[in-house]
Amino acid sequence: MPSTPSNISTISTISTISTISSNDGGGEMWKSKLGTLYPKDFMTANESKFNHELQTLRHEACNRDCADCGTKESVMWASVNLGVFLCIPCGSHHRSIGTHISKPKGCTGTYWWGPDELERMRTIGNARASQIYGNAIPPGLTPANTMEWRRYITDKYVHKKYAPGAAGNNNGNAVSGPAMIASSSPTALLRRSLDARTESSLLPSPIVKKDAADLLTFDDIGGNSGNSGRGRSGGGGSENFFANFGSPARKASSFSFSPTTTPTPTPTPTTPIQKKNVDLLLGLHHQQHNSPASVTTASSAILAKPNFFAEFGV
Amino acid sequence: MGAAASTYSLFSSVFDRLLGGNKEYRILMLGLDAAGKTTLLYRLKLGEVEHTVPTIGFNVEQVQYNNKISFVVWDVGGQDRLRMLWRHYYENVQALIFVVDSADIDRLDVAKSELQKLVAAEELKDAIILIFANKQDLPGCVKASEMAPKLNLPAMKNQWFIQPCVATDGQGLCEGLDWLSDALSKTK
Repeated sequence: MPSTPSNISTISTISTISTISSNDGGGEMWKSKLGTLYPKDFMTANESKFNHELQTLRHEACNRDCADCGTKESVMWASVNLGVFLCIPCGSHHRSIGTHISKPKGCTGTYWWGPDELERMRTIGNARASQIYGNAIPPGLTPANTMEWRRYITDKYVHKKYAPGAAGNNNGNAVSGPAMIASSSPTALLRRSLDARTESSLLPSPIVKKDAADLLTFDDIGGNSGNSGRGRSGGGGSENFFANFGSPARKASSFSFSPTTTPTPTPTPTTPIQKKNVDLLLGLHHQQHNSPASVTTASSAILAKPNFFAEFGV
Repeated sequence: MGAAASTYSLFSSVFDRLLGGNKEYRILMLGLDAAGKTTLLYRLKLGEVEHTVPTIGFNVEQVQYNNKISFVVWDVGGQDRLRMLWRHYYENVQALIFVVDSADIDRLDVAKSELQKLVAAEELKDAIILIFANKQDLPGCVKASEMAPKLNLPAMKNQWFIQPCVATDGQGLCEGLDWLSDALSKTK
């Protein structure tokens, strides 16, 4: 990993990113799906604030119905470049059509959400998106028709075939797409990443130790291990997987990179009970962490049981 | 299905030749979110994939060939905040399959950074690494040969191999696991 001195002259190298981390006081960087770099410390310090913003946006009346199929059920995903909130099945389709079309993310706490992404969701959102792309669904088509649906959303977002004013549509008043929104222009994004990098090099680097034990303080994760098909584990259906992830100690009151508004997070103490839960969540509860030699045996014994996978419906 | 059947028979013959007895390898499959890990896992396990849902937590499958060798493949979710859980799966892993979305060019640097963290882990210092340059069917994708330097593979101390593939139709998976089985057999 190349060492990058943290001074202004090297910041310009961010435009041709070769690595997203550095070994110096600048700390490790996190990259949003819109391409902006933020210090991980900044994201950690502000995660509960950003998450709150996201939940507020997601629950606005205009964003409650899936932008693609219109359902009100499980509208827990979003496409950050398109600026739309989606249900889980439609979000899955967006994952499969390629990031050149859609950059999807979950809204229930398993992702970090950067200020640029929140801004995009705020600027577009489902109401405006339906003005841009339209929301007519061909009769009889549902997300369950996998290939046809993927063709449909590609037509909708790439070719704007269903947009008001497009051939075959008489509504007129087509408005500009997300590519034309100035706040997300490459220059603006680069500017932000430069700002972030500059300020981050000035900040103290709080030691943030986050591990599964932190995660396992959530009531809504435990208990699902291996019950929901195909060996799947974890709180897949939960409204907010990481609901308690941001402890009060990590709350910050501002988006700004100013050192005065970025408190030093306090690591959450871990307990033996949490450790046990960690293993349950991770599917490692049959292993004995303190005796590596026995792990393989224990693991093999369980996995060799003929009905092991049958339990998971495989 | 024909392609899948021949894929499996090839696996079987390769493993039969290389390995006499029961062998089970613990394989960890990681990569950024939506790289295609779960699709790849179920393509290997079931030979077909309709569609998958985002992995919150992990999937684990025992992929067996001819009752003589099996891979226990752990597919762990790759979303931002799930990546911090990866390290809990490092223990006793013989090989790492790292899956990259070859068309997600904007995040190749993120993939590189995550891979670098993995190879820096003490538990994975001897792990054999197979990189699947997935989604080779998408427009604008990076070829495997171009991806190797972008991921800084030549600087890795681990034994590695990069294989282009399309997990949704199985292209390239056979070749990748062929290399993996061969490399694993030589470690014992």
